[in-house]
Amino acid sequence: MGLFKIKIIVILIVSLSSGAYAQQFLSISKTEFKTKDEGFKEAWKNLNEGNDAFIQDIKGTYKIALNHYLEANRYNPNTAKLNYLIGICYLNTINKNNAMSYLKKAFNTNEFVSNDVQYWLAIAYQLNYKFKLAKEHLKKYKQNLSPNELLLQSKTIKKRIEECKNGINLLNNPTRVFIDNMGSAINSEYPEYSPVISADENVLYYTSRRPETMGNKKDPIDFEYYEDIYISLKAQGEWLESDPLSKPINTKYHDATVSLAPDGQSLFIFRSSKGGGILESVLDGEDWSFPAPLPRTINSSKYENSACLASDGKTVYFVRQGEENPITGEAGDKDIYVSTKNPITQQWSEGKALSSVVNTDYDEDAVFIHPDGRTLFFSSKGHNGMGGFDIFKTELDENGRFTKPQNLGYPINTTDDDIFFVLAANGKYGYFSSVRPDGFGDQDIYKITFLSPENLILNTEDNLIASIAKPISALSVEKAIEIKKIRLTIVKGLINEALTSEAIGADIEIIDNEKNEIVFQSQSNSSTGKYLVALPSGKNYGLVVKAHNYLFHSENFDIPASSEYQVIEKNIELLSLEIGSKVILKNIFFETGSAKLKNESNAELYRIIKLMKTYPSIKIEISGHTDNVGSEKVNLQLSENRAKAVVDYIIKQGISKSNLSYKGKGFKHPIASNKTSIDRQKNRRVEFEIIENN
Amino acid sequence: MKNLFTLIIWAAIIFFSQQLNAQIQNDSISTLIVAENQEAELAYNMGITNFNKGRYEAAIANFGEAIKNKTNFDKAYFNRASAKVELGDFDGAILDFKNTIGINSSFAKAHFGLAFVYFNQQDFDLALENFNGAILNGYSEANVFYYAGVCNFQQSKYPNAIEQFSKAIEKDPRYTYAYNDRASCKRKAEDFEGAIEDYTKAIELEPEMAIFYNNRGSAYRKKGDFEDAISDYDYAISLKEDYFVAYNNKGTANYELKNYKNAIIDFEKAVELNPEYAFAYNNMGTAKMKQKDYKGAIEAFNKAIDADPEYNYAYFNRGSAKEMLRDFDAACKDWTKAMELGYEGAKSLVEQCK
Repeated sequence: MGLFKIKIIVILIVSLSSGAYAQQFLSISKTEFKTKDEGFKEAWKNLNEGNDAFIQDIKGTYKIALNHYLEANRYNPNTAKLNYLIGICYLNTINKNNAMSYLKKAFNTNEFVSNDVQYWLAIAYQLNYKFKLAKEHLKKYKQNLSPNELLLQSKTIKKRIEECKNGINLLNNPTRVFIDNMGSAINSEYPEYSPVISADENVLYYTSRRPETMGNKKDPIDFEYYEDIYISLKAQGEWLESDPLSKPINTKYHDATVSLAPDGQSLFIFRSSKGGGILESVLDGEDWSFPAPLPRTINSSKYENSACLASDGKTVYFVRQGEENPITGEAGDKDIYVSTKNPITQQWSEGKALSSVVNTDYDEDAVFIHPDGRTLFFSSKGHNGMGGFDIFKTELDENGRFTKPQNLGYPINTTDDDIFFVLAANGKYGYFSSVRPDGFGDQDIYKITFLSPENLILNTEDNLIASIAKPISALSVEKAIEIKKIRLTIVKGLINEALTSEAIGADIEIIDNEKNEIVFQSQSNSSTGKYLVALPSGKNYGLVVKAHNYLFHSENFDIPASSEYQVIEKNIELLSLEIGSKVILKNIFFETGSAKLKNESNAELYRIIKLMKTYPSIKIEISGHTDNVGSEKVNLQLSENRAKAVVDYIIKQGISKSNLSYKGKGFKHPIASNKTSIDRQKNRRVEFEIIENN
Repeated sequence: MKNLFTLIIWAAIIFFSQQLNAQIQNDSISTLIVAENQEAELAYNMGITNFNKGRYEAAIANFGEAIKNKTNFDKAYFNRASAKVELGDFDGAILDFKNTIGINSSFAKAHFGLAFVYFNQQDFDLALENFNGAILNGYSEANVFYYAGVCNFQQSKYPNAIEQFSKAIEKDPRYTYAYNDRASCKRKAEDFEGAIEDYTKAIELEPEMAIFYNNRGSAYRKKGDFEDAISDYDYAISLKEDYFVAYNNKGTANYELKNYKNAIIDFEKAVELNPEYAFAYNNMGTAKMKQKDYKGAIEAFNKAIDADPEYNYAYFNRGSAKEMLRDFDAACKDWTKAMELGYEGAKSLVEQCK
């Protein structure tokens, strides 16, 4: 149990990015410390209590040690040893950058106070963006190491120097963003982190460790409250006060947000009880289902703590920790893995680590796949980071390979940990966790607004041609604009009963019409009727809504590869299986001017067949309709032939001829004006009507 | 025609603000020795007299009379064309120049005159064709090469333009305009060193010409030598105190030096000299944005747009300032307007607005 908890602390609570070796405890003698009698007793007591906490070397105890040491330091602020210890305590708390002044004093007072003071001073400089100084001290520190020490530490020092170089580059080319604290409705003086959002940014879940979390207890490992999951809803553009989720999501153990499906209907959580791991809960109306662990191929005997389901529902990216080093006992590093769902067996494949393009020797964590299905975000301590976890982005190229990860840049990334990044479907807003000066205390959740590239244009002119008095103008500054394009269509709305307008929890299927396969399945919420699907550009999609005892409803979305981000709101009304109920079959396609069915129609035709097999008592009429281009006679004939083609196809698949009839109606029953090509296309259609139900 | 003698005079004709040496065919005759069937010549001479007195309409009538009596009277056509140019009847002039050439295809000055009318109508294709026609027929003044060069420049054919300007300089080594314009070609072709050399030559020959300093300053600026640029702009301004173009350029050089405070002072000076100078307002806005004074920037962009309501870049920049004030909807409106006014670069931002 104890061991297990340590893992949780290491993973879900941002860990100290300190590197390869532990800090030293330095014992201070009375003679070193005492300067005068007044106040000595109290100061000496504080010093010893600080020592007791310090030597426990547990994350939470450094904060306790620090408070005692700061008291003691007020009595005698000039001992190199105490300044060193205070610096080390700060490096182990959330306010790491405060370490700098103490380590500087320790080093300046006695540069041999400990053999590693220069190293930690360098780290403190790095944390405070003094990269040049940090580099200089790291280099000097390295020069003074013995060959054995060098063998152990050279990799870490090299990495730190690299981080400083990256820091200089990143600071010189800041990313254009606004970074805003999410405010008191969400953040508190306690840790808040791991935000997850629905694709339309209307729901936010996050993790917090507040006094009111379920069970009300602190984890003995770090003296912080156990994690619980909170929800905030957005209304009129503002985030409302948060509420904790109730059972079965929150328990008295650690319950933390991991990821949320784009439609907000499925939540991955991390739970520390029962061996721990990632669980999934599904929203049924207003209630979250009892969380069930992800399959063993993902949730293995190893340690997994982050996972994100792609919007196709068939790919999961997750984080798994490597084996512990059997010799040094060092924990293995975390990497990003992928598992895919077999379309036939519905089984999830064994997790496979992504290539070394994405995974490094250092930790990769907090994976997030954008609803566009091709942009993956994660945090890493490797790559070209500037210290701690930095957030990176990589994209799937045409060959299905991930591109070299790109640092999201300063000021999103800092020298400390920046983690748990998620991006809204529109690509404009991101959310992540960080410790910043404007925070409420500890980790807070921040919102990123990505701005357009700075591209100011100046105009100048000169008398380039001496014989022409009017000067000739030129653009003076114009950089190429490069904007990351989100190629994604969000379709969302409500599914209601046509007559009563009651919400229906219906099954939604997204079909790739060309391949005739279901690419995504989902449900509308049974209490609100809300649904949301994310359709990456480049396909002709059929959207089919089905519910028991209702006629299915079908929509067509043709989204060319070049389509950029858009939101389509589409409310759908389902008709019950009654005489007179009528459906337009929007995914039936004919060759131009002919009654020959295109292959893309098969899925829709199959749905009619399935409906008629499920409800053998209904009799239907298929009617063909045209636009008003051409003579009535030709159109009547064409519409009849088309209706007949549909009926013939259905009969061939074993439906009784007696349950089917067809009619050509030409252009006598238009549903749109015939004035525009879009309206004419609406009029060219096949309808399905229930004419008997015995 | 032996009783007649021909004299060609050069008339300096000003077309718009341009200078052109056009030629009037001037036959001076004595009425005492008018022979039989000399009505055409008589009318022609009357035309020249009227032309020289500035009575262009009367001159046109005289030349018309001459042509009526002698249908292949090329010089009468040419002179009537020149009179029509004076009256601003360019289409009529083109017709008469063409008639001149139709009668006498080697009439070099008619080719030149026709070319010049096209040049003033900014039809650089036809202008160049006819300047070349003039050259082919033996017209070899420096200015024909110079104007052929300008035509090439206007068509962005810089190597051809350089060749023509070089010929003009060969004919007239003190042709400062040709040096200036050849420098401008080199600048367009991003040969800034070459441009600076030619502008310098123009300055050496004519050290009082402010535009040469301004242009050299801009070549330095393009090259990245902002200090040298500013020094040239300052000198240009000392020669021509109301040279708002040079102030605008100096401001841009200061902007490049990230010296936004001084840049704004320069742009302010430019709009003080020319309160309708949209470019300087726009540039002032960009400098204010760099100072993170987004409200001030918007005010400046507003003035740029007031001065030129079709100014796409000012809309674009104003959108960016509004974005920084978190007024995203207004930013999108401005970017959309910039796109509608033809700035393609705004398109990707507009798409992001959805």
